[in-house]
Amino acid sequence: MEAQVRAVAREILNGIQLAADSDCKSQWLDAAVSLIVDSKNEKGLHPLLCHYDDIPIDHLKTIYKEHHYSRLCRKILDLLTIEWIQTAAGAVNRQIETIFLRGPPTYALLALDQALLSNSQGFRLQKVTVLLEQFIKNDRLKQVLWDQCHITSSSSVQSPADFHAGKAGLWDELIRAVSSLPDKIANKLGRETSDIFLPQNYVPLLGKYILECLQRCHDSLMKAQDCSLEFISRLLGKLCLKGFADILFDTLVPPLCVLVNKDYVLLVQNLIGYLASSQTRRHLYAKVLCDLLKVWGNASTLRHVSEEQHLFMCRVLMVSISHLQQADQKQRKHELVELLLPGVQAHLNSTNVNIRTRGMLVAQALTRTIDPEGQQIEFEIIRNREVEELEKLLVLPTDPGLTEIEHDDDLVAYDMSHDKPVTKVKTPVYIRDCMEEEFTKILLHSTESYGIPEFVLHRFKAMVALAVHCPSQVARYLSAQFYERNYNIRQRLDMLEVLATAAQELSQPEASTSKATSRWSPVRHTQAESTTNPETWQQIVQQRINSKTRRFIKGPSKPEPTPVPNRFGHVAGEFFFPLMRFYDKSESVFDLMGSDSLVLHRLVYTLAIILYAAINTTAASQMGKSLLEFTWGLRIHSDVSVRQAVLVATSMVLLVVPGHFLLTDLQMDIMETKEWLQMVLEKDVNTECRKLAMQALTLLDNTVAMDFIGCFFCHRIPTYIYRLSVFVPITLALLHIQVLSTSALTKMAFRSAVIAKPPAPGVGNKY
Amino acid sequence: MPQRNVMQPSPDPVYILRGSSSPVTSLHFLPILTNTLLSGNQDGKVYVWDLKTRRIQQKINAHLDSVLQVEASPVADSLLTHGRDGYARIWRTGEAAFTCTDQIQVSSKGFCAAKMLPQTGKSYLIVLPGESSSVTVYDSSTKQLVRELVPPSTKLGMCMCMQPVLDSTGSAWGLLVGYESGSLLLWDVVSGKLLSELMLHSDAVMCFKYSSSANRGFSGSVDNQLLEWTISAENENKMSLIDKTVVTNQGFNDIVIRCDNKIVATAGWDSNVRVFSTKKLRPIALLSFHRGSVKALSFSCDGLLAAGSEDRLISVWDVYRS
Repeated sequence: MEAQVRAVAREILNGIQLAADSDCKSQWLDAAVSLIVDSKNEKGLHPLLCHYDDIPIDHLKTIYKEHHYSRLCRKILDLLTIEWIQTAAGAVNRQIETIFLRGPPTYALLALDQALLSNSQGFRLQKVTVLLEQFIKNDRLKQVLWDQCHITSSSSVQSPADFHAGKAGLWDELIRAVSSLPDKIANKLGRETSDIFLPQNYVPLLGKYILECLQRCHDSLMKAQDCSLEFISRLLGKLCLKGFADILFDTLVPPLCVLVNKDYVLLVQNLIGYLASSQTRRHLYAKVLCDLLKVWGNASTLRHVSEEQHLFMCRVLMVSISHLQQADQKQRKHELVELLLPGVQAHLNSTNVNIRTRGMLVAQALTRTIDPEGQQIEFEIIRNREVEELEKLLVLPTDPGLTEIEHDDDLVAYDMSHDKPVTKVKTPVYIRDCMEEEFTKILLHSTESYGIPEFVLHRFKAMVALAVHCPSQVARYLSAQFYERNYNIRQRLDMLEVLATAAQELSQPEASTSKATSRWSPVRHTQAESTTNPETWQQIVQQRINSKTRRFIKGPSKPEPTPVPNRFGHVAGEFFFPLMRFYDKSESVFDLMGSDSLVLHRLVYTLAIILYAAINTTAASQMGKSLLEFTWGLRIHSDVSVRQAVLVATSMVLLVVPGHFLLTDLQMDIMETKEWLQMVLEKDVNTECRKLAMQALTLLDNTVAMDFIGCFFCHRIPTYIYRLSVFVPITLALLHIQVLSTSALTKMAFRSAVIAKPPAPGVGNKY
Repeated sequence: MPQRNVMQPSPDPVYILRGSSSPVTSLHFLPILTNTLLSGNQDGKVYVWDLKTRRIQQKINAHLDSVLQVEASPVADSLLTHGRDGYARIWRTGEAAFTCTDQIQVSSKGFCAAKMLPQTGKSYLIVLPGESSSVTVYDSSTKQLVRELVPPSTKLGMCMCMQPVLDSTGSAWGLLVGYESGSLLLWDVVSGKLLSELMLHSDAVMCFKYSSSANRGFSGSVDNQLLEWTISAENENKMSLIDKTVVTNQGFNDIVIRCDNKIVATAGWDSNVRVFSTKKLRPIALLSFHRGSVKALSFSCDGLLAAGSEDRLISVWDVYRS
């Protein structure tokens, strides 16, 4: 049979090649077409081949298409001349198109690709590109892709490995052809390239075909038919290497995302699930988990990895934890715990709340899984969307096929979300029975176990209220406790935040101004009302009278604000100085200058805020001086957050301490500070630090300029101006006079920025 | 994600029976008159409730102390009550009211409730907790002690609860007894022989039920585990654990199995009633209504579930009946 088909093929080729005239050629082409195209009305063989009628026609066609079609294509392309086409008018064109567009697309494409290479110009090249364009416009490429993925029933007897081996050579050639088509055409045709071959058109089209092909693969896999995705994956790889990745994935990713969400394909989860699902792959899964945990727990990774990468790592870890089985738990318990502990420590040391939270979450999940009966790490984790998303990953995705089986009994469960553990609540104590200091103590030690919504916020507010009510006692108590033993970091941070907030509250004048302003508003009131629709005649009359009445008002348009004593003034020192008392005292439990840099950073911030609250009080100068001395040693601290806090504190000193005091009593310190700030501006690695240094420098310059102007108008040039002129030229000061309004604005903006700096209470301090 | 069936909200009771003078300690639907519910109270009173009018039909001053058991005979012609005052009493239905016909003094002052063991015909045995770990068996007609079931080991502690094991005709051949130690013993009531033993819980068996038709038993203790076990008839009546499930809160007061063996309900110290499908011991409903610990449960033969609580209310639930 094979031999006979070969004979047919040879006869057709010879016929086409050797035919005397174009009519004869055309008839042979017809014969070829009849073998390639499945036409329904034509039953028998073409008249030229009728002496082969002993071969079953279907067989003949199949074998011909599979083995001889490729050679036919090449032959036709070789023979293609302008004379042949012209003499035979339209018929040959149509026949050739039929052969190329309706035959097996893979071979047609390869033949065309080859012809493209061997012909540099002229009619044949033009014909080839036209055919290629037709080929693509007729969506034949889609068929090419699908043919490579689809394992036909005839080849299904082979193993997938055989299938791949058999196709390897063909695929190499095909991938080269498909991926380089735009380049080749552009090389040959230059500016005359058809739009369809431009990468921005061709690649998305290819993407669309790939997507459709994947969809078909999915469908046939659902019907338990084998598919191979190797070709597609190699093609994708090749296209990406060629630099089409962006265009390609713009087309592929959005629809894929939709499909993936719709259809239970969960990326990371699939991957880990695949590794964990089989005993033979299990060791790979364990290795992944351990390696990942090692990287995750590495303190230097934590410093250098971006937040998104960290989140991704945590996601993968959570998924991996969900796959841990009993056997692994016993076997690898020690290994995992050993990897986990340094990681937890590194995370808890982090100054970033998100990273801390994630660290706690992973640690909690892992210890729970490894040893459900043993002791477990329990953290107070702030619930947010990210936490919930990560926790969801702990639940293994259910196999959509299995859920049906679970409902074998017809009893559908009711909602049981109210099934909660019963907790016993202690009897409440009346607040009025508690002393201030005593109450602060209770609040400080109370943890969130009462199920009160927003407990932390309430506790915080209560403590601040206490501190405002009797500042002296509470401040003394809190600042003394700050350096005591037996407090956790959360409590220490609470102390700082309470002190800072209470200081701010105390320094605000009590709300008495609102009454005063309201007295001055009636005239404006009626004007405002006139815009609304008057309803009664009295109103209309009143309105007309108002509009015709002219009022003359003497005196100030706004009342002078009533001066009130600053409640913070006389207690500022009690808030401020005790907090700096023992900062260098190193204890085993609480090492401010060492590992507890998180507390240190909050401490410096708090001192800065208290100082700001003490603005315009008599103690401010002395406090500023102390703070400058205190932060001097922290200027080159290794932790970025501490450095930032120091910079903020420095700005505060410049802002709060009166200019003349800065430039007389603190002159040396300020000069040194300025040098340091300039150094930070030039050398610090952290952008935020540089920004803060910039602000501080601007403030310093402003202070000097303002003071200078003040002196200037008083005709009193103090001696220090001459000394200062070493580093603040007079010209600079004069320049500042011009831009005074602007810099005043900057100052205002900066004040509000600094006040906004500390995070909202109860957010940053949860452990 | 595909749209799952939207979960039905947790059910509410169909009605509440109010009027108990003290916490409800025992409940029993009359086997034939489905519209009648008996309740025993902590003050020793037994109420007969008419479920049509939802009112108390009759108040019986049955005992001087907490009622441990109210139970009707299979044909509902007589009633057994057992109180902590140390008496088990038998009542007969007259024209309108139940009247006490006999009483047996119970030597144990524990919490183990007396139980009726139906025999062939209308007769039945009454089992009562005896001294230490023993169980006494009385004949209902003669009121005579038939035999005493004394375990060989004294480490079992007091009897906590008892359940009959019935044959296919509905007469009891065996008795399951749960002890303070957490063990469950199976006795042959006819010969008085100990057949098998199973260590179920680490603490006292607080309550259990056994369904002879399904050959499944469910038991609960003071912890949060509900256990499922079976008796192997082929293997010398050896008992074995099949399944267990953990519930949210500790402590079981009562367990009931519905007549069709499809669902099991447990009364919890946490004032909730939990419903499980027996097939996989899967929790399917959490009935929350009471404000005090739920003390007693009963299924009517047409599937109504009654729950009596420390809060003096009896809630009636209509779940999974269709």
